[in-house]
Amino acid sequence: MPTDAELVSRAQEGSASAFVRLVERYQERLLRFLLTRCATRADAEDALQDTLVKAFRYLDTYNPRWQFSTWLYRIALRNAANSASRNQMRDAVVDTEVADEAPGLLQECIRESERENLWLTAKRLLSDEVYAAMWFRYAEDMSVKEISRALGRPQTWTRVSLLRARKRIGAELTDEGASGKESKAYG
Amino acid sequence: MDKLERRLRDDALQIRADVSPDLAVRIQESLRSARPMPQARREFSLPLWLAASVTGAAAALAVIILVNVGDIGKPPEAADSAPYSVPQYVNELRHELPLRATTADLTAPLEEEMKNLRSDLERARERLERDLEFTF
Repeated sequence: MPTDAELVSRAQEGSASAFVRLVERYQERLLRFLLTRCATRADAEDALQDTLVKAFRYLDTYNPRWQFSTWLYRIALRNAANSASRNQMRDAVVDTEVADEAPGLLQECIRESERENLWLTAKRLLSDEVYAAMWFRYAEDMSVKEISRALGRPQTWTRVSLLRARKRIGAELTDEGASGKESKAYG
Repeated sequence: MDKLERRLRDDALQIRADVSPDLAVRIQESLRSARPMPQARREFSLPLWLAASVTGAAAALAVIILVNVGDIGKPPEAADSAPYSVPQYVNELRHELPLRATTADLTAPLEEEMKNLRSDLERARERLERDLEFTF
């Protein structure tokens, strides 16, 4: 199975099939990430399409010093931010119809489970940027260095943010556990 | 990997992100119609830097050659047809000219200028690279 670097190198030399393989490798992961960032599924799908097209167009500017996934997520982040700002402008013009459906998207995409999905908890507690850092670290298994690169932040910021976010989610889980026990005890 | 990390990882996979066939087709079509950007960075910055260096070096070399050629200012016919003898004082004057020293004086500012140009170009190249990276 060829590595990302091999496929990128072949794609840079003009192999369309190599790029298609990269697309197949990343499209689902990117969409999963974009679903947590965009207001609607349509926005997430548009952002995915834009991300892949931009990656193809600017493949020559990719610096192999970094992981291909880091570069791709960087583009995806930018596209998600553009989509969010477009929505804000639309909301300002056409009331709050879109804003109403925004919090529900992630919930809709999550398979049914007995407990709340931790990414919903994270979404509730963390800022967008810290949420992205958490996603890259725990859903994508990126290193602190790569996360910092993707977010354009110093490594210290990433380390501290990840630590604080973990503590915050951990505290929330502890609280939930305590209140669950309490309600059982009193129920 | 601790419990929280495991839960985060598992929960991420609980988010349904199937790429529908329609979306896959849409992406393939948009990729087919997209054209890669020309090799902007390679074709623009590097050759510019090289061209500037080569031009600078060539100009410096030309000045050195011109200054060192002893025939500067001599009319072309003078060498071929010289029925009269050259007065002695002309030769003395020519030999007394500190040609090497003059060459050094003339090329030093040019070399300085070339150094400045190179550093300007390097700065511009770095800025361009940074801008290109910020594009994404």
